[in-house]
Parts: sequence; structure tokens; C-alpha cells
Amino acid sequence: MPTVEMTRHLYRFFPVLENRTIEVPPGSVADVLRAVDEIAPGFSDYVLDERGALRRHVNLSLDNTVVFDRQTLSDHVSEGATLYIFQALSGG
Amino acid sequence: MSNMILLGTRKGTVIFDRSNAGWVPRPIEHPGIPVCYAARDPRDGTLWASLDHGHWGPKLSRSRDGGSTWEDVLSLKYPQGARYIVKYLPTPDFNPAALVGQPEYKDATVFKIWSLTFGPAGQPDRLYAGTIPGGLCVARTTDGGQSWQAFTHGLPQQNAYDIVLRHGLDVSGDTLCFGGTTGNVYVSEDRGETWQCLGHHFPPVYSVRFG
Repeated sequence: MPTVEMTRHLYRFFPVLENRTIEVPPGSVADVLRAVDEIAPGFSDYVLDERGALRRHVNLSLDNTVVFDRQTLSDHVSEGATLYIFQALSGG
Repeated sequence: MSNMILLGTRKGTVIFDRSNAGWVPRPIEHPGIPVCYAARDPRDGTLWASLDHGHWGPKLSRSRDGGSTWEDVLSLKYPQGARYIVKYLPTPDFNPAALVGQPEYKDATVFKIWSLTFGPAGQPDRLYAGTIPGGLCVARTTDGGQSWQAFTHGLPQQNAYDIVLRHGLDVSGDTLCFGGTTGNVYVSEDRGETWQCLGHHFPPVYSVRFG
């Protein structure tokens, strides 16, 4: 099962995700985020905008590779992969 | 006489209560989060804060117990097809037939919920929101923020560059009125669903209030 790890900042809004291993079925990045949203309703609204695209200042990586498709989140999350969710250090 | 002052600050919501000893601040709510608007609904005392998360998108937070506990409210979303101007904001001498300097558009997603206005006493749970960067529309909720509808009927959807300032919208019963910085003033007599223009050539409108 793929696992999901995220910045601690998100635990503040979704304490249910803290202190546990988040394991979800393999699939696209969109599928994985949907699965996290089922554990923590409202979660995807923090990471995605109303078009389903990744918010501008949020980054995702699959193991060591930054997720390529930020619009439709079609990158495949395979068995054993880890999806990392973190803030972009953007702006001035 | 009001016994509460609400501040929306760069680092959270500050509430002061009036007491015999003067105005007493409470511990900050939404600590660390920019709050671009905070207000109390005069109809039922619900407190609202518009949170402006840098990373996680705009959110509305609501307290029904005078500020002791707060809950996230399903956030306002633009309708499919909403867009905004990325560059070349047209000036008054803009020539739509010119080959260069044409505005570039992008799909709009809500960036900021800049202001909230409450409906009249007879329409509880009705709120109106002003947002950035939307097209020219008025967003309305009739269920206390659980769901929102955006109305554009009678409002220009092309070549519209109106910017509505924070005090540029007012509500009186079923009648709404707003004015923008390009000198257009619109009125709706059916709770925002359809609009008519009261004039296109006013100076930039800073505030609209029913008398």
C-alpha cells in the first residue's frame, strides 16, 4: 500500500491524521488525495483548488520526484511509494 | 450599544469585550493565520472570520457561541467558467480591435474572500460575499455558508473591469446595490439574482449605503 506523509501544519486542521500511518490503495495522485479526504473530510479543499488542481503554493512529491501533473493529478502512485505533501517556499 | 470589537489581523482574530474595567482583549483566535475580514452577524450573533491561508486557500470560519469555538465552513467556490484578467487591464482608450495589448484571461479560482455583508433580519442565514479575483458577480448563501451561488444576470461578463471596494455593497431587504471603481452602479431588487445599471459614468465609487 502507498503511504502518505505531510507537513505538520496540516495536522492543526486535521488532527485525525496525526500520529498514524496513512495507507491508501494505489492509483493516481487524485485517487490518493481522495482517499485521504475520506479519512479527514475537507482535506482536499486545503490542498486543491475548486477546479481540482494543486494549489499554487503546495507541492507534492512521489518519493524523490516532484509530481509532474499539477492540473489533473494523473501521476501514478505505485505500491510501496510514498506521497509527500508540503508547502512551497515561494514568495518574497 | 455594542459590547464587542472584532479585529481581523495579519496574525489572527482579536476580540475585545466591554467590561466595567474597560475593553478587555481575549486570547487571539486563529493564531498565525491572516484574517482579512471579521464581523458579527447582527441577526443572530454568529461571528465570522475570513481566513487567508497562504498555502491552503481562503476559508471561512464561524462561531455560533460568541467566539468560544470555531468551525470551518465549506468554502465559497466560483462557478465553472469563471475567469479573470491576467494582464493588459484595459485603459479607457483601449481599442478592442487592436492586434496588440489584448487582455489575457485565466480560469479563476477564489483567492481571497475580501468582505461579507449580512442579509436583512427576515432572511436569516443569508450572506453576501465579495471575492478576489472573480468576474463581476455577487455570491450569495441562504444556508449560513454551507453552499454559495454566484449571480451574474444583468452584470456585464465581457470587457468588465469593475473593482468593488469593501464598502461598495449594501443590502436593504431584498434590494442590493453596489458601485465600483470604474463608475458603474448596479441595483438588484430580487436578492441579487438579476441586476440593472443605475449609471455607467460616476466617479470611482468608494461606498454605497442605503439611507
